[in-house]
Amino acid sequence: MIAQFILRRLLGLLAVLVAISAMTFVLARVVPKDPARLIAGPRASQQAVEALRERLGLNGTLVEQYVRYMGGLLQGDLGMSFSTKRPVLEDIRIFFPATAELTLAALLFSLLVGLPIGVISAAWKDSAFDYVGRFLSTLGVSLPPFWVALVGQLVGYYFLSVLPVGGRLSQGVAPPPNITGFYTLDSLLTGQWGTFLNALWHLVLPAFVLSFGVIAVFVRIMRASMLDVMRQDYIRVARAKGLTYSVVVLRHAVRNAMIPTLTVIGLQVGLLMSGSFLTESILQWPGVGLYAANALLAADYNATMGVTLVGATIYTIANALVDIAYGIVDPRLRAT
Amino acid sequence: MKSQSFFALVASAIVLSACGAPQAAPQPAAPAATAPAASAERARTLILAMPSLPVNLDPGVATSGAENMLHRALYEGLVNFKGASTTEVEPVLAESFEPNADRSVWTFKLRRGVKFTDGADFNAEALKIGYKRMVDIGLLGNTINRFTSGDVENNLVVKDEYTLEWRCGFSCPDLPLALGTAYGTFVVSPKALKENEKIENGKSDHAMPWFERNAAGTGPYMIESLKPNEEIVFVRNPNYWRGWGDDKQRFERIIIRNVPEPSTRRQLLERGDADISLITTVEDYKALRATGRFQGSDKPLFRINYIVFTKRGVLKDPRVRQAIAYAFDYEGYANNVEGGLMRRGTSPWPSGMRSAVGTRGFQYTYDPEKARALLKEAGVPEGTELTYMYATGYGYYERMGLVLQAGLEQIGLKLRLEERDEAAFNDIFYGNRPVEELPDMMGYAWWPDYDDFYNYVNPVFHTRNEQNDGLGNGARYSNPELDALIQQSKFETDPAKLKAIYERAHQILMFEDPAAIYVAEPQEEILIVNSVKGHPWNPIHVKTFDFYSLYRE
Repeated sequence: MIAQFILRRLLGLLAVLVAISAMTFVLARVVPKDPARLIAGPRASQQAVEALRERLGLNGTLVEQYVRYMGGLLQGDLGMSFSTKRPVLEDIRIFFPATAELTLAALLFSLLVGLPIGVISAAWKDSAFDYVGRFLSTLGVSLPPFWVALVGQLVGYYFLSVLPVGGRLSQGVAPPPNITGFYTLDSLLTGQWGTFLNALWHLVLPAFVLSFGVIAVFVRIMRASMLDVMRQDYIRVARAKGLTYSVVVLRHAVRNAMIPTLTVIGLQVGLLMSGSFLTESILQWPGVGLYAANALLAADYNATMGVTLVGATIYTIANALVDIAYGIVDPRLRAT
Repeated sequence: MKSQSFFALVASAIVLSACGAPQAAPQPAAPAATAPAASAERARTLILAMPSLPVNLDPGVATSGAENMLHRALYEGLVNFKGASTTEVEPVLAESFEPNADRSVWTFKLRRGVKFTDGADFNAEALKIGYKRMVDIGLLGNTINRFTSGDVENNLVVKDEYTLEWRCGFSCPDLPLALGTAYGTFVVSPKALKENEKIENGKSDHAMPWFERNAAGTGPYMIESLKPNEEIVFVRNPNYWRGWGDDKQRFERIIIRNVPEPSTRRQLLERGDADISLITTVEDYKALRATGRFQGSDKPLFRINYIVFTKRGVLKDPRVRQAIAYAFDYEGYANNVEGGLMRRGTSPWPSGMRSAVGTRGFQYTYDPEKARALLKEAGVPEGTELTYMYATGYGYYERMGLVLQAGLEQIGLKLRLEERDEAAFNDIFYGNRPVEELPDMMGYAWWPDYDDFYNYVNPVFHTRNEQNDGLGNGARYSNPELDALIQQSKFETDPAKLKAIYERAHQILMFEDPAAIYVAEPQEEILIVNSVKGHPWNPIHVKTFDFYSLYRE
């Protein structure tokens, strides 16, 4: 029964991935763009452009191109990037760790800042701290990330000279040996403290920018959840038993209020990943987001499709796993 | 007090950023304390912050200015333009060159002892192989092809190891000048070509995949590292034939960073973290020049920004095109909208070229009354709507459109602006759509490979055909008389006859059968920190550098 359920979900996953590949392929190619001409430049003859089109695999009908693309895809080949001249899969392998490191750093920072503010705001509702917290969380959801990035750079780099601009390490600092692809973690694992601090220094601004809106979400969710919990009978009982207010908040309220917040954390990871596109582009963080932005501008079909497909695959697999987990936990869901 | 200052700083930063950029350039804070060794290292390093970093290193393939900038560090040709001159060249890989009596054959004596970075010798055979590859690829071989009458194999004759006889097949007094261009004249190593060439079904790939990501030239620099979309680092070629031993502090390392965000490029320049950058907004450019810490050029480039006409609908009538040209406020656009960083266009080809007729010929003035009269004469109904299409990412095309829109409103016409990303725009401009499917007008720009009427006018205004004339003629302009003049100019050497050709072409393109509004000639957008010397600001070498000539003072 459970095996059938899992099989059904996995088949559904396959269908979704085929549909995504077809959609991204068609969307990328039906728009009137000619990457061959863009690459060849204005002074190239039409014959040279045609030759280049053939070399890039852009000749033939849309169906022929799709079949060719899918043939490669089944063998794990996402094609060559027109702009970096490398296999797209290799590009993603190179750039993805930077995005993952940035996303995780931003998530960690959001949790460390957002949750305590939410808890304190709820515990001391309508205090000055609560008002400030609410104001800041409103700012967080209202200010566009690109604006936060520009201002953050202006203040951190230009005016205060405390933060660097762009890249994961300073010029002349060699990357640590590749273990996880996360410069902070790899430098720690290999005991390269100088590199670790340098990598951390470069991570501060992009992670702050990326986390800015998410902190606001965590503050609001945590505060609302805490307020809800604080109204429950068991909290009143705990207070009646003579426990101090801070013990009630920390031991009883926070733990229960975390449940809905944890659900939201999962959703925010997706938001952070997509937000990294803009943050990386503005702050020159060399991750998949910057890679995809450059690919879009250069009409680099294979790279655009590769990033979309890999992103969609991760997201779809994660969702399928959640579905399966729900199915295991709650047998009623297996019937649907 | 301290926190008040901080908040004031943050608040001012927010306000300034909301305005787009700091209006008054603040005094840069002192760079973070660095050890003397680090400072010395920095002084020996040239850092460029550029808006894009395409990484096709093949000088036979890549045509963009950004890529050409990379090629100029890695490769060389026979000659180069002398300093800022566009009419004189100096020998580079050639030691000397001289023509025969009718200037149809040139003998190049090549420099001895020059090696490619892969160890291969540079000689006449290497030059011929490199140029043949250029022509065979077909992307950048126009100059070589034209001056060998399409037969590189027989018209580049290796007389001995260091002597090459160049037969044009016609009198070609301008051959050395044509070879001064940095597009399509650089020589690659025959050894690298041979080792990396793949032949499938009898068809060579010309080692293009290898040359895209690797280099083997005779240039002053070599690749140290290359991170696509991030940065490229060059180091000195230790065996460079000109040597590194004189008293100038030439750069040991060159770092070219990809910095797409304009405000970041400005900040990097101001903070001393970049030495050279492309400043694309008028406000930033003027603010940075005003600090006195940066060099720029006040001369216009060899480039015209156009609004090209498509001869369709009401625009078939030249009077309507004349009316539109009269409705454009040239001085207002150049001086106010572009802040004086462009000069109004006075000719269909750049005013600095030898062939320019400029103000000796017909000129438009901003004259809405005359425009109205012409429209009435042509019977164009009030409220007629026209379209103007332009590529996104270049602010000036949009600004040209907005000024035109305001001008046309004055004379009772409507203009719809249509923006396309560059690839989509190129597809329309260079594609095969019939004229009826094109927009009425398009924003466009062109520049020559070298100072030559034919080289400039043929791609832009000649009827597009299968002989590859009119490659940049996106509006499919066609005028048989002009075509004949262009073809005549290709082989004409008599100055008086050439002058007559230029004047007639000017009259046709400006007035009788206008191909475009010749809006403006822009200045170079590059700014260089004052301590870096040696850039000649040559108006043909747009957005590129002779890296060997640069040094820190």
